[in-house]
Amino acid sequence: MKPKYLIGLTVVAGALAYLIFGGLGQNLVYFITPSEYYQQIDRYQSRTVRLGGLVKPGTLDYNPQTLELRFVVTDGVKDVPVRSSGATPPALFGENRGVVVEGRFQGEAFVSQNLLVKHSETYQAPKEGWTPDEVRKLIEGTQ
Amino acid sequence: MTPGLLGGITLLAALIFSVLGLVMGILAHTLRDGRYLEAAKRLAALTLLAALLSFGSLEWAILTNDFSVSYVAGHSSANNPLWVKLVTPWAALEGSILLWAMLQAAYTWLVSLRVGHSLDLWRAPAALGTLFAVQVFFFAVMVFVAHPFDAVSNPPPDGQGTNPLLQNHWMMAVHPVLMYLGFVGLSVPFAYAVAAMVAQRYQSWIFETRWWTLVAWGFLTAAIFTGKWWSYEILGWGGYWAWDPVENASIIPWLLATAFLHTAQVQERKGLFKGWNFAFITLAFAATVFGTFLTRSGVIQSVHAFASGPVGAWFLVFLLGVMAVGLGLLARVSSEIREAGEVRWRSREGALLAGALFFGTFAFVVVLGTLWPLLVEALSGAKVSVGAPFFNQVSIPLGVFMLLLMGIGPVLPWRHTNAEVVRNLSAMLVALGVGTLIGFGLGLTLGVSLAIGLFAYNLTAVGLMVAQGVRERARSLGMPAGQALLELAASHKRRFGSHIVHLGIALAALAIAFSQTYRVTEQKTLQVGEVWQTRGMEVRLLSIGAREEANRFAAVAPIEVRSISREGWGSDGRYQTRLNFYPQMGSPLATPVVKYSLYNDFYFVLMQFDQDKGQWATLKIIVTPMVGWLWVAGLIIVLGTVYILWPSPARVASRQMSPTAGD
Repeated sequence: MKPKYLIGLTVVAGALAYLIFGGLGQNLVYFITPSEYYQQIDRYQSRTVRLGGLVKPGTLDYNPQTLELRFVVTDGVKDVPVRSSGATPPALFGENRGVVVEGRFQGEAFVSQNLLVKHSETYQAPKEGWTPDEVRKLIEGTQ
Repeated sequence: MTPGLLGGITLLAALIFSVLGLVMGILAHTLRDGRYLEAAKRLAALTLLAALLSFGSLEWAILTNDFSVSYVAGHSSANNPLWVKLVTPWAALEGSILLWAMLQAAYTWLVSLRVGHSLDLWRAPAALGTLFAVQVFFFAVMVFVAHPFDAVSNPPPDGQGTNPLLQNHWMMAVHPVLMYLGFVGLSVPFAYAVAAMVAQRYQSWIFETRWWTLVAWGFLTAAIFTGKWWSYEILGWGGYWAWDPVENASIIPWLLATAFLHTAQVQERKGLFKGWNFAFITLAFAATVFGTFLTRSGVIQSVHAFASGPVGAWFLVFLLGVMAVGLGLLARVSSEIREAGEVRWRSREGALLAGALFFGTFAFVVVLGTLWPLLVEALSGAKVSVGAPFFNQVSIPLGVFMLLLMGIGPVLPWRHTNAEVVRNLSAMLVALGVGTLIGFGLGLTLGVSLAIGLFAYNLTAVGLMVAQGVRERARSLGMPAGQALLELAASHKRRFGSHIVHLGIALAALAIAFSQTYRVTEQKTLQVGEVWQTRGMEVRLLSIGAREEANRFAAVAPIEVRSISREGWGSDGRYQTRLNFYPQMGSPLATPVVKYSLYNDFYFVLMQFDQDKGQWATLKIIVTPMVGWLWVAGLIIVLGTVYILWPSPARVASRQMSPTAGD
């Protein structure tokens, strides 16, 4: 191979590597539970994360005028209040169901732009007394 | 005989026939005895018969609501409409593997018919043996870990039902089957490549393999586009591609098969790139297994993922096996297939290789982005996901380069550049510049303007090439231009078909640029009777009602839409926006209504409604420009592929005369 092709190839490979690894670094979204959030609050402030847990029963509230959906995400130990601006289909979303919200922490509350729900082939009946481990397992199956 | 019993027996029979077929293939290869090959051919037909019976038994069990069969109890319901029952076999893991194995048996049988014709006796045993080995894997997975016909000791009165997301749209009957036809179809090129390497015949395999790859590629393309459309029609988010791991799983083999289709032409014509071709085809088939492994093993979560189970480990071993066989053989023969000449970059072959390398790179990036979360978790223990922005960021520059190369490649001659080529390239660059400037003039973004420029550039490239051929023929044979065009199109199907496919790709890129850049979403809660003016439309909520259907219950909010300015053109009509409630789900499923028009698509979704008094409903409206053209582009690409594959006397004759005449 001629040297000029080699130089060209190196430039292309370099640009590509920059594009890939630069892009990967910026676009990693951490996946955490409420308990993990409270262990390292500073780390997750004002960066995009995915928060997973169950929608706590009795906390789901939809305001038809502002289109704001409020609920509490829990892992059985810690709770995080979530505000979602409603740009989400309600499919497979409900109280006591696994949910993953993508967004940022703003002070005490989590502001979500995106609500991801499990498209599971089988319905998982809600049960009482979730432990963080079970929740972790459940939300790992939720995206 | 119950369907469960028949299904189980025929499944076991298919496994045994496949093992015997594999043994016959090995014997035929080592002993060089044609009788074993004949036996392998018969076993291919027997396996297909057994697989068809087994699949038929599953349909039979589902249609007769036989809940003593585990798959039916777990994934069907007596209340499902007929069409849902018919497609239930591929709504969950075990049944979809059965469909896969059945299609595999069908492909193996088709290949066995080619033995002695285009598949010579040196390569046939290895090719059939490879396909039987693949088949053994799929039937063994079902027999040992994912048996669809396990007996349920206390059959329930009704099954657990089919995943509502899958029964909400008729595309369920089309998209998965196309995807499997494409995935399974790539096993044939892989088998041919293995056979070529085992038999040490490195040139003859490429002609028919290109044809088989194009068949699989056509199905994959159709599957990807129908999948996008399905996702657009049903999921209520107005998009069609989210870089979900399963979407990635479908695009990776597509990219690698595309790379092969381009470098294969160079091997056909000049005998170059043999190593690349073996590598691309091995990786393309491995990518289909990789995709299945990702989504069936539970290592990566996805909206398409079925429940995890032991199946994942099986697929991982199979994936490693495929890679080891393909790449191991390639390493062994690599010294024998060393290239005779040097690649000239400024010629057709150079452009084709560059294009193929871009496709390969793109595939690598998608694999990397898909697996990155696993790497991060292994190294730091943190759970992460790689968002769509990463893939978009990388795929846009790669896509621009590919669109540029797509125009240049066919224009460049196989030999050295001449004055005419330079003239053509200048005209294309002018089209690129003018198109981009027009975009800017209309106030569009850089990306969209560039997409317009690239569309004009590719249109010019194809136009110039066709015009040149027509002119020459019309002049030399003294016929009218129209007749020359028709004759050329009939005699140069590959060339014209590839022009059609390339135009489809350019149109798709344009549609993606417009729809991704200028999609707008509006949401509002309306009282019954209230009128909402938005995006050039007047939207009136007429009423809110409920509807009882056999397998579901629906909340229906009819709306009336009138266009009041240019932005809303084409939106007029009455639409039934609805939320479907399925008994097996605790929450409703939004079902968008889509109104297509030549420029804008209008997408109406009922988000929420007043469950107490039925007085208000929250509507979401998404207006997306040009997204309809994406489906048109998909259709054009598939039609172009069919055009190339369509048998014609001229093509058969040209194939027999010389490998290059079909160009």
